[in-house]
Amino acid sequence: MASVTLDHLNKWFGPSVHAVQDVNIHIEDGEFFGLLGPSGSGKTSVLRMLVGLERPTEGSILFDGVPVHNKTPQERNVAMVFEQNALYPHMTARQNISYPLRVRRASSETIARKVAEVATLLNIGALLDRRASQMSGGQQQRVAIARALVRDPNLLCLDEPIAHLDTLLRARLRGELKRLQRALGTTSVIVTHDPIEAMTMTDRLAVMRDGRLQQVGSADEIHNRPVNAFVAQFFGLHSMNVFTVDSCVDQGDHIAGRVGGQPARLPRTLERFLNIGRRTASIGARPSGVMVLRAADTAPAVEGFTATGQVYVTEQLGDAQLVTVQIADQSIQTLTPDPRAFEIDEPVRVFIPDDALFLFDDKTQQTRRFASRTAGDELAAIRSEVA
Amino acid sequence: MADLTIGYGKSSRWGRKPRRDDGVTERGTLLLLGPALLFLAVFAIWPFCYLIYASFTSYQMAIPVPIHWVGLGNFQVLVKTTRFWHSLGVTAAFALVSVPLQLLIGLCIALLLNAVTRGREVYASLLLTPMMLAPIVVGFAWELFLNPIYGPLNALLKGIGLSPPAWAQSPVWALPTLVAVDIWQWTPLVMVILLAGLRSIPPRVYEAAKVDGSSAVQTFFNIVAPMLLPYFAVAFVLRFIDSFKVFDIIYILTRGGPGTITQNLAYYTYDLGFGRFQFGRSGALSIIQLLLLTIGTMLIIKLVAKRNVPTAAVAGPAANAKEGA
Repeated sequence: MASVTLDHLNKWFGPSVHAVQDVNIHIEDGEFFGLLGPSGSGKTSVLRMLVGLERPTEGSILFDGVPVHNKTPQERNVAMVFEQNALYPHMTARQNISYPLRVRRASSETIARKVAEVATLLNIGALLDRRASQMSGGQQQRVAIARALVRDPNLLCLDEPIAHLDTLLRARLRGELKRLQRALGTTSVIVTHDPIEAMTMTDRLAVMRDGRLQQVGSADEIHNRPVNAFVAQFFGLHSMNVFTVDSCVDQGDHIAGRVGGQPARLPRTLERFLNIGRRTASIGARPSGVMVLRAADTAPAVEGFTATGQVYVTEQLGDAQLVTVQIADQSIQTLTPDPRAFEIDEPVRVFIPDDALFLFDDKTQQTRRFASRTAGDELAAIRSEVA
Repeated sequence: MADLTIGYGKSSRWGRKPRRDDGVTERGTLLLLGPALLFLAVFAIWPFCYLIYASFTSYQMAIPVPIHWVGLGNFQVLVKTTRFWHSLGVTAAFALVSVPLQLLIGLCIALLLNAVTRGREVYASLLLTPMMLAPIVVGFAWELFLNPIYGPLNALLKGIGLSPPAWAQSPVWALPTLVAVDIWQWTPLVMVILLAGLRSIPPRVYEAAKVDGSSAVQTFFNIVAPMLLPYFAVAFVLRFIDSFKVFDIIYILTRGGPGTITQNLAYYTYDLGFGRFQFGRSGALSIIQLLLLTIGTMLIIKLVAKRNVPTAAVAGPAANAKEGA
């Protein structure tokens, strides 16, 4: 087991593709770390450099402070679980799991003991004599994880290990992987494009985009303190609404502006962005922080963002519904426990309490103001008042 | 709906069997297959049966004596001649020397080509040329190339001070020369089959092996070779069967000579049947070859089937990914 440091890591593919741009990360010994980003963000390239399947163009990788980026995967003693299809198809599960030990010329007693250990750990004792083609996708991935763990690696790398499984199985393996990592204490890095996987499994994670590191922190930090609009939109159960309010004018008790030509009202607290001479604001709010009101509903008594629009579509999620409201050319999603059925094209009002508003720089997209952590509680209070 | 009912009623009125989903009656099936079956019966099944019959008779074409049944007589005479055993040896040289060498060289070229990333298709197509040429062209090209007087090979060898033999006419070198030409012509087929096998191994398998600490040699013997085995078996069987049928290059380059040194079983069969018109004996020789070929092929298949290796293509989890873990 080891701590891992990525120091000014760069990767070029050919002269024109700068896949990984100056990435600096320190991963503590025993930590479960996530690399999150959309496809093409460079997260897999980082992982492949960690494992030793790619060489960094510039920068260094250190395990416990010792540079390893010129060493082979074997010398680093890293293990990797691939997305899918990486079991040796002509071997049984037992032969697959024991292969790393066999090429290291371990004694047959050691092999038998270690295989039995990981098989118990991953609950695959009954599968040991099956070939890959005789196992389901979930079973294959368990065997792949067993093969990675059988030789006590310094670092366990997981490349979207459960992305190809069905929803229920994925949820179960998420929990299992997390417990397993905690129990073994192996430093682990998982690459995923799924924010839920990243949030639920890891201790800390890094969000990447276009080869650049956007933010490193705990799930809570990244969810509540996103550094920019991209992280805010990418990270979370539902994507954050980010929309533009322009032609903003200070009206004394509030700020009047327009959303795609439609009049909108902003709370006075956002005056700071007007103070630096801007007339345009980039506003963010998580769907759970947005209320959708009918014309007949009483307006909430607190300050907040208000605008009118039409229902674009509603999606029933069982205990809540996702209502997408179209305001001129922009759309805002609201996740609401409101049980009322909204009609498509029905005129509605959108209300976002001041506390739930994020403010981004309209040029750089950097976050200028975070929503309050207690925004959710406040929203619940407002809802009970309105009802 | 109405149309369908009428159509169905019509066919039942005519007493036909009910139509299948694709609208073809069983009688229709027979009618469509008929010409092909008839062709096979006339040009393949009947001659084959006649061959078996002839091999038990004294049938000699062009000699007006009555044909009589000799039982296993033809076979007994054949196995007592040294010429039979010599031809068997020549056939064995193709089946047991040329074919294994083709497999070995084909494997090496396929491994090299698989490592090439740019222009693999171009190299592969170029290397396939010998296989695509007509056998007669191959024969004449080699005859010219090896000609002791005009041929470039001997000119070159003399140029560097050697005294080369007259390859195709030399009692020592004629058979090795034919084996070399056979290897030259058919190694590309082996190469293309094995290359397809190598391409079917997912890159992730190689990467997994690298991460698992497997050296290049270990990866080849433990992972690549077993996954390549089914392709290897296909190439082996195809080439093994063909090795019994080598005829054209012998006919053009040596005519079975000098003497009968380069006559294999196929050439001997031809010589018996069309040179001496001994159809009974020639038929018996064909039957012997068929038996040897069948036994040999079954041995190869049995050898591979015992390992029971699934191909890389069927090992993907996509088909059954939905089951529970």
